[in-house]
Amino acid sequence: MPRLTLDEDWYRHYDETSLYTRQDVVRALSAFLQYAGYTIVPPEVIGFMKPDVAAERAGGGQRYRMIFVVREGINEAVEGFRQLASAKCFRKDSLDYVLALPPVSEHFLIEFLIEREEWFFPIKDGLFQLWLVNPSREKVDCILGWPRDDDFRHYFANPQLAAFASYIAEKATAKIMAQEFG
Amino acid sequence: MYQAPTELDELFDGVEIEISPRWMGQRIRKDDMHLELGGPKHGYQSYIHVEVARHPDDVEDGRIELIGPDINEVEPGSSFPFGVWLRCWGSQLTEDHVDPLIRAGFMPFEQGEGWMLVNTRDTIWIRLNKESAPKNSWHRMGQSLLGMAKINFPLVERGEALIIIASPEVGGVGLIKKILDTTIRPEWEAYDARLMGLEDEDVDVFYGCTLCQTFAPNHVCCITPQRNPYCGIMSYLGAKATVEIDPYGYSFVMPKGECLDPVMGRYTGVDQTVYERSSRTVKRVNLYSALKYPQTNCGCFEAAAFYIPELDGIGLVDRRYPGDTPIGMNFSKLAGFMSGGNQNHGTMGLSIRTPKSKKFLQGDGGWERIVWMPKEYKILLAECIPEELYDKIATEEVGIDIPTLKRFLIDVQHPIVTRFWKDGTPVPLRIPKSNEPWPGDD
Repeated sequence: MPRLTLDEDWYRHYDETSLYTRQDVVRALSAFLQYAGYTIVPPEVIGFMKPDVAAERAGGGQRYRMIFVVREGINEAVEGFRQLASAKCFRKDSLDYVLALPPVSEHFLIEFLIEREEWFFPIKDGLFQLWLVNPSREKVDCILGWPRDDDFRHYFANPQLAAFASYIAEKATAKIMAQEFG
Repeated sequence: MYQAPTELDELFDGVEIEISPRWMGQRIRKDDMHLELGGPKHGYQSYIHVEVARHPDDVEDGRIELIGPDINEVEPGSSFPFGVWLRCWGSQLTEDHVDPLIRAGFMPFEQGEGWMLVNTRDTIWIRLNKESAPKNSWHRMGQSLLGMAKINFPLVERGEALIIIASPEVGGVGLIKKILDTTIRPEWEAYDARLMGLEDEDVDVFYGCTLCQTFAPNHVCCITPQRNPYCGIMSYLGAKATVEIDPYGYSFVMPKGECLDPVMGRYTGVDQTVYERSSRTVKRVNLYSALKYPQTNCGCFEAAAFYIPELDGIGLVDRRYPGDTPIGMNFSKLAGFMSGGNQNHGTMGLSIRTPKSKKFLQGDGGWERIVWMPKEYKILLAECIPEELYDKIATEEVGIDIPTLKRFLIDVQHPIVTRFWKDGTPVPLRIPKSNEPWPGDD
């Protein structure tokens, strides 16, 4: 897959070095999904994109389908979400849409989401998810959003981290207030 | 008046909305809202309050009382002051549990499909979007509030809710203000006073938190009565209650052990726990120092303290200040350098409230070592900066270049000049690299 340029002027490049390759993350993510009872299925083209990982599970009278775009760090996050948004145009709410990254700097993530850039609301509005996958520690956490399949609560390393969205949203309040109340 | 189910497996029967972290952090714009409660439009005269009842008979389990219009009875775009009062009882429930219990009570608003929750206590602001309005009623929301309190907080055995939607017909903002002023605010103030009055010497144990280890694998946060976590989301009493509810979670007891240095804030129990929980990376922590063996930093700190070698002083900066500091970095660069879970001598993350502690940086000289901070942050902290020092701490209005600051500190007779400098000249410390000991220490 060709590497996309990040220098597009309208979003920022972070001084971050990738600790893991996409293949490392794909491997660890796939193992985690299988551990959580999912079957890894061959990814199919959806409109203009092809997911890196697709998985599904049936349980409790429901069928859960998820697609994942895997990237190597925060510098590729906007492009990753763009892929997911593209897929959502075609498959609407029939899937869970997840961007999987290796561990990233928390401070950079805060800046990416709200402090210096404003990607938090587009992510929330689209109900996209952001997972962090640590191949060395074999741990996965959901940082933004939450899967429809609530059983993941028992598999994420730290399910309480979902509260990160609340922390970020509190910081975002000032911007909404400025927009509505001047 | 409604009666909600009280059996555990029926708590959410009939609730049509999804309550899940999936919906956490939603923001609903004015044009999309069906209903607004509290917030700036009403001068924040609103509340969600939790009362711990003393006797089981004081609580009618599952009772939900609504005063004011229901959700389907108001025009789209309506806005009212409001109050939600949860009265809970449990044989082991105490006043110490109020803080985390309020958070549990917030959950249906915070994680409810179509709801937006901003802030807490008397700055609370809630919205419900048009799309989800038909699936909601105050009966079901009351049921969700009681249900979430019970499943997230198993110490709650009985609960009832009083919901006031303060339309003009039921008394408007005057009704809510009266309840706030006569009952609720005094309770909040008493709780805060108790928390503020608590000192590290008063307690037998501290608490720790490793929530941020996903980002910063070796980071361990120490929570004491006089030292809040950097993120500012938890107090000592909140951490205590969290551990009681979930003893195997990300918060844990941190035994104090023996106090080796009361000024620096060094305890054998803290050293041992941090060492074990930091993947055996950090051997020593001084709770009240940014210079020597400070706590590790995650990345969600609200502000930071940083050493300025050329002035042998410490600067403070918060996230909102966009400009450069006297060390040539803005907050963003500084945070990028100091975050990640390493022990970086000379830097320390802070919550906005941290400088209000009496032990704030006491190992480094306290406020007498602070030489620079942004003007706005200084105003925010005005009440905790010693009066005689307030005008002696430089801001960006004085400058950020070292010669100007040095001259300013001498001119205003900042105590750093006589207490820390030698013959009127700063002598910079030789700060060790990350995770390395100071010379002479093992």
